[in-house]
Amino acid sequence: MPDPSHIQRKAGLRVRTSIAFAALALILSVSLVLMTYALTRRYLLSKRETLATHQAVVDARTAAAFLQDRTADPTVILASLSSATGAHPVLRLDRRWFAASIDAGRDAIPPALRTLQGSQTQRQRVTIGGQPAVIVAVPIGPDVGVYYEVFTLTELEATLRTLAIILAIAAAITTVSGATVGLFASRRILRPIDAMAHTAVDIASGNHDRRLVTSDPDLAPFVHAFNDMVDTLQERVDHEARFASDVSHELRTPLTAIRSAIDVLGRRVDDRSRPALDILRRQTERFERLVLDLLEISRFDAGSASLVLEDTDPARFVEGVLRRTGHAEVPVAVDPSAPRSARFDPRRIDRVLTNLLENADHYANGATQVLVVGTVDGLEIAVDDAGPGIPPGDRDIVFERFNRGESSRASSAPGTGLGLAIAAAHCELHGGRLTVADSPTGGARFVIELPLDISTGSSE
Amino acid sequence: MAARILIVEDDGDVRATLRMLLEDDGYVVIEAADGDTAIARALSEEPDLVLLDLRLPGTHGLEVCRIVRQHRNVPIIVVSAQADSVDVVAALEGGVDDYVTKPFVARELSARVRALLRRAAPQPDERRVFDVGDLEIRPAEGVVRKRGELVELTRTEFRLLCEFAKHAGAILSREQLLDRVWGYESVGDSRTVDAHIGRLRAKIEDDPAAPRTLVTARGLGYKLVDGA
Repeated sequence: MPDPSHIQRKAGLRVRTSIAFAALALILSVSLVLMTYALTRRYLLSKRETLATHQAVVDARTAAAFLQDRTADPTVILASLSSATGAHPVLRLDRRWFAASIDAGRDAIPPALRTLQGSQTQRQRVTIGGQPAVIVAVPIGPDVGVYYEVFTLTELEATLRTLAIILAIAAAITTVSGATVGLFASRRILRPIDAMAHTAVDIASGNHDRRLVTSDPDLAPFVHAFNDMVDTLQERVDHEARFASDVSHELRTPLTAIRSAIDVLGRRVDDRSRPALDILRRQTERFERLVLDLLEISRFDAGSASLVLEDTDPARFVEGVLRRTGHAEVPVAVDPSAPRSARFDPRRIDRVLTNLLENADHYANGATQVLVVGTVDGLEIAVDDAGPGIPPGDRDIVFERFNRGESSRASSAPGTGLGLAIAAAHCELHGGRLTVADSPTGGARFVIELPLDISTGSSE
Repeated sequence: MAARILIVEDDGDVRATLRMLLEDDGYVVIEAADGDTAIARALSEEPDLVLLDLRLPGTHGLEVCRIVRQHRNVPIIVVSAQADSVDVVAALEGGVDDYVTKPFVARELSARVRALLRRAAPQPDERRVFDVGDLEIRPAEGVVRKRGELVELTRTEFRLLCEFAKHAGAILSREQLLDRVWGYESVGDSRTVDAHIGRLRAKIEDDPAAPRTLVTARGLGYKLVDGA
């Protein structure tokens, strides 16, 4: 039977939607982050460069003023400018170079700026000792020299790094949020579909009167189509059930008349005719069993077999069946693990047990004992026989329809060849099964396995 | 005097063989081939027992049962080709005393007819009066009163209640009840017991869904207790 959780797992619509939402959020947030970073960086840099240029021009003017005094030491002037601004001033007077610190001297100035001509202020971004920096070159007076100022951008880089980290975290959060929103949205979208799936499972498990309902116009066509399909199926099932019921009635009625007439004759016939009447009775009984077995199996095939569950004491139940079928002498071993009460359809399990006992009588020198054992999740009733056992290769075949094995066919043994197939079907209807193994004493052991939790699964 | 049995069966040959079987057992047989005739005969001929087919021309068997029961408290055995649990349970809940599926074994049908006729006879030996909770049960008179008011029971329901009254407080299993009330151990069907318990509860319990007098002993059977 299909399980709703299984259906969800297989569809994976929820996961797919979440992933799609997460991917979308990731793409959007990453592009946004990259754009933000690039724009911010460009803006901050240009701002810093503009500031640097302004400062350098002012500083150059100051330096030029000091240099009016020919006796002034350019290095001292640069040092005082450096300590005032935090920048690294470099000065070229004619061909001589002066610097305030050893970090940034002539070498730091790119060749393009060294031979600066004219009165145009220029700037260039460079890397000094692995650190980003910007250099502003300001010509001083006509042909006096050039005032350079080197501004390191370490601080700005640190700021940008922090910004990058914050943006990355934001992107990650956005992505996770996207996935969450996706999950939430998919759950909302899937809620009516989930409800329909549950209803569909319910219908499939036999509640044929239920139909899907929806107030969602998008789902309405699907719901109508589904309901129409169920209606059609229901009609067909009803029709088949009616037909099966008619067939059953039409087969049983003449059999009833024949059997009753034979019973009447049996009381009145003389001894000379009795052997013929006995043959008639035997063959009628055989035919009757075949008809009843076929009707039974057709009910299983049509899925119209249903359980009528009752709380039953398994040990007493087994003893009752043995007594009723004339097997009172067969010992019953009730294991301490056997439950005192179990819920199953006693009429069906009665038929299974009766069939196993009859098989043991006909093919295996009778049953040697019946075991009642409790298992982790249910109950086992096992029938041991005194026969030669069933070889492992034949153990599946014995449950097939009309398979009675070569020996029995030759000896015109009773039974329809449907008994074990029907017995297995009875067990399966309970959610259990019928298996065969070796008994410890060398015969076969047929085991009826019944789960403890049995629902009235199938339909009527 | 021989008991009179009404056979309601639309198939002529089945009806004829049933007649032969029952006449061999010494009963007087009355026949009806459809539902309406069955109702008329059941009321005019006053049979001691009715064998009732369900699929009948005209009035359906269950409807025949309902109408006949309104007028006469006659034991009814359904003899039907419908063997599905739903049909059996529906008939038993509809008030029939027993259910036999076709094709039946003559011996088995005879046993059930005999048992039901025996049950239908009064029990003159039982002079006691039982008081259980609100109930006053008088087996000899065939009378049950609940808080002084007469309760209408079919004969099988009455026999069932008497069996419980005799063993008030004790758990009776379905098998024991089939044996003692229906009178056969080997061929009984626990659904017969359950359906009768259900109908009995509907008549004697204040709330049949939560019985306080005729209670279930899970997995074991039923018992009658003073639930008041």
